[in-house]
Amino acid sequence: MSKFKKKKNIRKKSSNSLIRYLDDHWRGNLTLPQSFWVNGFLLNIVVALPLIYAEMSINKISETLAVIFLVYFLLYFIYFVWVNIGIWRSSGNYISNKKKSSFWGYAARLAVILSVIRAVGQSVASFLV
Amino acid sequence: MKKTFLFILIILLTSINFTAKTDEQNPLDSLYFEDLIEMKKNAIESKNLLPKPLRKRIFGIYDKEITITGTNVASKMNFIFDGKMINIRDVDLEIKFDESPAFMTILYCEIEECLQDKSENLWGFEKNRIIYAQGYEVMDWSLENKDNFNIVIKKLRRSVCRVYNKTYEQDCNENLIKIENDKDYIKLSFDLQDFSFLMGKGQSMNAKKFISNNDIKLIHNSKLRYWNIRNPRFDSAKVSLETLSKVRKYIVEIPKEKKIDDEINEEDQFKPKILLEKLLGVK
Repeated sequence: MSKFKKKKNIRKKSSNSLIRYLDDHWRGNLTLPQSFWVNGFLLNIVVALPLIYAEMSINKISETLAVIFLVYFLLYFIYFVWVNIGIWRSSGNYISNKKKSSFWGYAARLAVILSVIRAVGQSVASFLV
Repeated sequence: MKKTFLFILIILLTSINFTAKTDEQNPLDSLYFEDLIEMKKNAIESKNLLPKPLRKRIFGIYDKEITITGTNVASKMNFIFDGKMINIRDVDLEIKFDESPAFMTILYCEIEECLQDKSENLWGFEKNRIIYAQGYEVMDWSLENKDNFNIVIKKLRRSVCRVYNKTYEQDCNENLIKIENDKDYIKLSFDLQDFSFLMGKGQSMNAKKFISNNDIKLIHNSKLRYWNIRNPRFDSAKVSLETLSKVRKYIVEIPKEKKIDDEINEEDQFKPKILLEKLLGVK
């Protein structure tokens, strides 16, 4: 097999594994700690960084940059839906597993509910004021 | 006691007001400051569509002719623009109103302003102070009502050169106004704030590009960039530059209904920054 083909295969495999990872989280197939702490907590910090910057420098940014941040916000919204549904489903699997205590499953679901309420409430409040 | 005090106070206040009004009026002006403000209000409220008082008193449009005579207070140049309209309403309707040629005369004087209202004059300019006059045939021009009331000249050619001081004969023949290409133009812009004109060439409105030869004998002011051309109709009506500057400083408030309409239109516009602020919950 040539080097070029090998590289292509590696790239294909990595993109496939990323899709599989995204899909596994979406279906709740990942473990609850992985879904909650890795995707819901650590990844959220990374993903939210540009928006934190936007919030801090809203008065300085240009209209064009504002449009870019709006597009990014849309992507963040997609992430938000993906991550919370994934955690919800993963915690469902956790609860249905009789071998483990269901406490952490319910706690994770409560965290999802609270984060959704907070996000919706914040958006509604800022549009009403 | 209270009533007497109130009476004195009213007298005092009205007298202060009266004094303020007389201060605004230059005794040499024959057009009242209040009239000028009224004209300015009319012009601004009708959104540059030239209300009747302005048509008559500034542009001298009575029938189908439009005549603008101006002088540049910073150089020694003066101009007369003379054109014919198809219909007087065309000015209001923002339609290109003239296909037939107009005529423009550029006059160079010994002093900045050689305007006068005596009988011995040439187009209202003091004859013995004119160095030379160039006559241009304007073949393509139009009216534009964008930010100001503008006359855009797209094509012209010199037709006459009348020399009054023989020393300047060569200048008269060489110092020509030219329109280089299809994109080039000369714009004469009427400023509603003080009824002055701005005359320039092309997008930059650069006055120095207006003439090909910036002869130091004619244009001595190095700071000159724009042609702030004052309307000499006010000179014949005797309105001082001081009064015009007061007119400029006077802020015309747009009536509330119009303001609300504008605000609604503004709200309709998409503002990404405000939307982002709201989405991020920034207060």
